[in-house]
Amino acid sequence: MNNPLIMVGSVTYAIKGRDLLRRMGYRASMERTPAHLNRVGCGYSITVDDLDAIKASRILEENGIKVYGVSDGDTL
Amino acid sequence: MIYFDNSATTLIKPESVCRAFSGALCDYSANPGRSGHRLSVKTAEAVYSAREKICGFFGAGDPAKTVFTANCTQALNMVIKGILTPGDHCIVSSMEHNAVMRPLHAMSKRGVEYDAAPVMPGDASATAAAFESLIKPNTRLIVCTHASNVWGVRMPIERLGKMCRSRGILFAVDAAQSAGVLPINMRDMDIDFLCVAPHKGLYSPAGTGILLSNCDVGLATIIEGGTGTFSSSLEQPADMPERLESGTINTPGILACAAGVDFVKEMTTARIHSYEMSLIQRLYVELGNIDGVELYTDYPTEESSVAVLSFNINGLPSETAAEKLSDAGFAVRAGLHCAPAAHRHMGTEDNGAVRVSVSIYNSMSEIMQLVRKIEELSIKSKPA
Repeated sequence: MNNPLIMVGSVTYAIKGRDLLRRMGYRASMERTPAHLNRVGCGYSITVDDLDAIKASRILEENGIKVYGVSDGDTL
Repeated sequence: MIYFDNSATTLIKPESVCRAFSGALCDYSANPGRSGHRLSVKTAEAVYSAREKICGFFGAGDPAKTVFTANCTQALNMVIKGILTPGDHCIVSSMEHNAVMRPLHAMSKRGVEYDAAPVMPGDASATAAAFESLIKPNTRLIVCTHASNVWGVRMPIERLGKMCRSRGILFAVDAAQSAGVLPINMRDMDIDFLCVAPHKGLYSPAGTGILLSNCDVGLATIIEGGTGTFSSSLEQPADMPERLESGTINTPGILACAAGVDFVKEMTTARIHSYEMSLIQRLYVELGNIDGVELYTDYPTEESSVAVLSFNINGLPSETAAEKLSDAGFAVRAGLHCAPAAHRHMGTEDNGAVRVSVSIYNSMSEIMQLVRKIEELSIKSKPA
């Protein structure tokens, strides 16, 4: 099963969010959002290996990083 | 040629900056934030790292609010035109560059009002009081240069920042002459927007500028276009920095800016400022001893000035004096320095002045060579 994608607005926020989660000790990475999940066009996403995506999204939002959606990992 | 035109742009760049620039051309030429391939992401990572470094250096809170522009003028335009709307009032100093005055003049045709507070060189309290006396209920923004590009005079930025914070007015600083030379901490100095010309005091390439924001006020855009985000919408995205960075950014310049920040951090602004001021102070004293040289400012101290000194020689047109100095191998700048307001303040609007501005790459020996040439020029041009 793939990790869910936490979709953010830009590559800047993807890097910022990934680094934030990494500083908190989580194994986070970033990638381009696949076209079929991307409703607004041209986006980037964060994935976390060892934290629930909803919890990770909350951390991101609390730190000023707007989350535009979380994918279901199975649909990737 | 001995170069004394560092207020326009620094000529000599540190080796580390040159390496970062040329290295970026080879290793970071893919377009950041536009694609998902490895090379694009690699460039985006490097650009984000530059944002973090620059944001930290200036004490701003959020790397995402560090915007790369083409120059400091563009950054100032983005602030002035992005904040002010018809009915708003803005206050500036009496020594602003046209990078501030022309956008404000343009906005005045759209119903924005502005006033210029007279600067009292060496008297921070009087200058701050002059700003305060101009505040109106509709004053939305104060824009002030950190240091005059003509006279080197430092403005009481800390006081103005506190005043703006307590009065609920946004505060923007034009740091074209101070970034890399004077310590700047946006948080501590209550600066909402900082506009930087990294090709000057950060020893970066021409074609670079930075706008840092340390507040939550969104800016209306003056340029829209592709950002690599929300492409299916015709609305310009709200997220910073992409909102203000339409089009492909200057990656080599940006990575060189980051190297420039490293260079200045290692040197420290305190050492840079102190060294540059020692050159200008010597120049001031020597010129003061030459009959016919007209100085307009008081002795420049580290507290009162940055390393810029303007003068005239025996009533010679400033452009003529600069031309003669150029013929003798000295690069200085004459005329109005794109800051007629600053010249008006000192009564030099008609003739302008000859400006000498130094960098860490100038030496005392070069200053003394210039002094000898000015002395010679003064004797030759003395009215009979």
